[in-house]
Amino acid sequence: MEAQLRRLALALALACIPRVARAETRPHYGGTVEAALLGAPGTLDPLTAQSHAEITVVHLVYDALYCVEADGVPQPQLASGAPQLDPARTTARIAIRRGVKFHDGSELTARDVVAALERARKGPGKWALAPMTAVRADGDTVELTLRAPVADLAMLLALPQTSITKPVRGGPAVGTGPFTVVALDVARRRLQLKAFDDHFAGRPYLDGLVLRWYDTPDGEARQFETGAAQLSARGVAPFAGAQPTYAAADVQGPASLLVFVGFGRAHASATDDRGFRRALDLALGRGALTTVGAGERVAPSRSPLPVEAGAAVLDPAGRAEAPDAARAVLAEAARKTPALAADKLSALRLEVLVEATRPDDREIAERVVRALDKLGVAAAITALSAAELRDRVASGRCDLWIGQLAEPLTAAGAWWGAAFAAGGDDWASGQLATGHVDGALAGKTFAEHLPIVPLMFRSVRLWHRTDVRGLAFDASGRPDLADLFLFGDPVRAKAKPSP
Amino acid sequence: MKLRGKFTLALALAALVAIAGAAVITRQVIVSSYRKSYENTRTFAEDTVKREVKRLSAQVTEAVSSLASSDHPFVGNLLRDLVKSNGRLDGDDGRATLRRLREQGGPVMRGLSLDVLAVTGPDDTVLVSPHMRADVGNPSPEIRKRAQQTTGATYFVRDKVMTGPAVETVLVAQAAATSRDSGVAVALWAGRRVDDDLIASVRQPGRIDARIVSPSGEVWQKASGTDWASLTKDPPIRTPLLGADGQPVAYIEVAVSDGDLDELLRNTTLASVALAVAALIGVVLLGMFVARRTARDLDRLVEGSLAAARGDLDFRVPVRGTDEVGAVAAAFNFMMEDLRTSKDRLVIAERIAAWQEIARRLAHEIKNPLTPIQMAMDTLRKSWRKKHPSFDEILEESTTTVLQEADRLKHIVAEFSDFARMPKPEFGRVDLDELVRGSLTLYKDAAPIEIHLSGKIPDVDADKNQLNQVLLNLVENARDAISQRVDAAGGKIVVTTKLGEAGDRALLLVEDNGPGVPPDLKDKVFAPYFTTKHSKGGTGLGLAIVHRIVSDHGGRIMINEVRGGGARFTIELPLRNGTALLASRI
Repeated sequence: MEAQLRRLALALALACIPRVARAETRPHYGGTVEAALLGAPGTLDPLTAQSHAEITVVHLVYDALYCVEADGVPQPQLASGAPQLDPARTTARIAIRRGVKFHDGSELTARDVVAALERARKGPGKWALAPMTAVRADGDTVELTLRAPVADLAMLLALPQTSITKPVRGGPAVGTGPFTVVALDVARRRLQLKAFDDHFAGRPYLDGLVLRWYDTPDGEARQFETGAAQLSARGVAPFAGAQPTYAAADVQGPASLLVFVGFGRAHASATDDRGFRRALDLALGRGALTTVGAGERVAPSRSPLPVEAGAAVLDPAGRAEAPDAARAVLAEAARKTPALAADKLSALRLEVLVEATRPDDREIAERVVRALDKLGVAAAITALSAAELRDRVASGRCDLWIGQLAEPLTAAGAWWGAAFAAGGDDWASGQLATGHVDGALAGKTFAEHLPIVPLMFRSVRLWHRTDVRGLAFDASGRPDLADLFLFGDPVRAKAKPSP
Repeated sequence: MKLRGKFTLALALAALVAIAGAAVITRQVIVSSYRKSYENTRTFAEDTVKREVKRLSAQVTEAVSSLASSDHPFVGNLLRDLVKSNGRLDGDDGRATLRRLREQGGPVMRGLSLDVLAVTGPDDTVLVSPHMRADVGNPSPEIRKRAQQTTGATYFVRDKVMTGPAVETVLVAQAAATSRDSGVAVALWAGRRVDDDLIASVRQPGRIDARIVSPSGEVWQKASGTDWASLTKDPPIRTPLLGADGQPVAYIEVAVSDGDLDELLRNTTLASVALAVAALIGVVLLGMFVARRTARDLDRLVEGSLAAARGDLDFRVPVRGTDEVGAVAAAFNFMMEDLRTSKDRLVIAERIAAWQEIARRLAHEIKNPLTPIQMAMDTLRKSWRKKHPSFDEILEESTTTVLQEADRLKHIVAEFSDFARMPKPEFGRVDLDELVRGSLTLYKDAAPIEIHLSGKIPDVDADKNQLNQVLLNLVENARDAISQRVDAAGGKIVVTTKLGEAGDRALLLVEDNGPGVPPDLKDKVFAPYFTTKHSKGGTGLGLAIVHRIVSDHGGRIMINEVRGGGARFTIELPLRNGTALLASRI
């Protein structure tokens, strides 16, 4: 009997050996993860990247001289250290990290950095380099000449618009980021990335990333719940009580994604008028925006600056809609601008552009249309692809559009610069050139100019299967997918009791 | 107008009058029936609209009542969550509740066939509004007030919905209610769009149309047809849709088209016209057929009459039936038979009379020479018995007389023979002017003849020799006449040819300025052996021969006085034949 028991115990021990042997204790390399983007990327070019999806992709393919981690402190990335300033603080010398390679195999030099920064100075994100008057290479060092001392130079050089790129004839610019672009399939709404073996920070754990975007929340949720996708911004959220096939957890970034209403020039006589914009701003209740989305953190705002960057918390009066006041402002504006007269406005039919794969923006656009309706202005939503939206906005062939901005949460200067620039207003760029943006003056100027109408700051929440780990967000709310790794086997979810 | 045309026209008019009468009566009957049907349809349409409005109101009331029940999972679970969280939906649980409402709101609304649904929490903030997501999170105290005001009854209201890219203002049948649990209350309203579906049930394409208008007349829901104004002359039926305050928010207008009456009448008119045309054609054809049959028989009668006029008494008209025309034809035939019998008898009688007359005249003519012969022979015998010394002279004189009278007898017999044996004319184309010109050449210096030729007369069908004899007889007759004038040198004969007024006959006129023909002799001058010129050896057969030749040519001869004295003989000759001349007179 005792011998029998010993044999049974031995058999059980042997049976358990393989499971114990497969248990992991550290990340391993390999595997491909399918993740969802918060909408379609309209561009892969860092110089023009603006939406959350675009800066997420830029973060994976390109590096900048500096990066801002979740704590908000700039860290050297392609730079080997912090900028060295002369006593007058108008010249900054930045040493370039050695051994960094572009995706085409060429080595990064100071001249490449100079060329990239020169291109950035001429692109839509030129406001970020407004303080810089000249840049030159000096061996392995880049020397920047500034108009005035800049307190957060490293922060500006960490923005996506200042990413280091290298133009390639007949193709998109190559970067030095942890992933390289394998294929962009717009029709199937997917971007395939491959790990870059020679990344200066080491090869990513994953062999590849498949980034997808969806035109309906249901599509994304279904993909995640069936286990076909490992990361999702919708996750289990769309259906209360729904249960994914595999156990999942969520990680939420900072509320650093500004959603705003931008203005085009199709009916410039109306939409360019500050009174019109002010009326729309008043008619749009901010408090109700907390219900937008799938439960992410939402901070309603009338400022382009997040609270973390110094903006005041919106009081209940500021959160509420004020249609009567809005109508009064509009009536006042109509005295100066005939195009805003009631009969003229009632004949208008404005178009609100929205990116088709961003359902939350669609809901916000509905509120904009509703607010305009309360002002006696008819409007209709037009859903476009990201590229079409970008083209229409860039050419001004629209009335209103719903846009996104993501900047490091605490970088007030970047927020002012980006907000004014998004509205085509150079005021902030001029202020940045002096090295400092006065918050009070910027707030007052913004209220006067209203280049855009800020609506809310929101966070991005990503649901991930429990076997996918390493997910984190940076200060701009970008998910750092480069550090993802697979750990163990997917774990099936436990069935939830019916509610 | 000929009988055939008259008959056809009469039949056509009779048919048209009958059809027109029938069309007018049919039209009146149709109009009367239609008006009755039209009024019934209007009543039906009004009842249908009211029934549909009532049904819609009942459905909305029931749906809202069901939703407001705490047993309904949608509102019931919300109330339980609110009770659990002391009426505040904040924190993770609150967000989860709001998310659940948001997920379930649309399906619940659509599941109850609703188009509008809004629920407010205890603080009157909109918690869910699937038809207008932009309202979520905003305050809306109207819902609670409306629920208290209407207590669940359905009313109509203009509301904003956004189910597409733009905000729409639509008419909604709406009801509002509150739902409570443990001191926590939510208010809701829900409704259904009053759109084409409501009025579609009453519509009948082309017959009944409906639309929805505001109290001020603005059209909120268009009619399905394109031209509402021309649909009917009567005002539309208006059914008010009452708002929460009991005042009309809108009207459903229903118009029943009476255009199909016009169409019906138009079709009836067209059918009547078509029928009339068809009947007219039929009647004309029938009339022509019947008239042709009738006229053909009448034509035969005319032909028979002409034949009778020509003397053809053997002509018979076919008798095709026992009707009136047939009776006329039979009577005609009977008459012809009778005429022929009478004529035969008359001919025999005339022939006998003629022979008697001829015998009498002949006896008279023969008797005249016999007396001198008898007297000469008696004188001769007496002289011979007395041995008269002048017997030789007497013999010479008496034999001369006997021989002269014998010659005369011989002459009389010869002329009689010629008259009796006069041949039938041999017709040929004769130029009358040429004949006159040629014949009178002989008299160029022998008689004062003046000739007037027409130059336009077509050739006539005639026997040239006989016509020549006619002309010569008449000229000789005229010469005798002018020789009786006291001033013989003043005599004149005028021969004229010309075309008859109707253009169907040629005229030959011979006139003289002699003593003329006394009126009492006019009827006798053409009789054989009538003469006023016994002393000159006239036999009385010249004008008789003329009359006979003219008659044989289908012509006629007339004698008239000439103003200032004299006689004029006028001969009419048909250009073709005697039948044509006769027929033309008929």
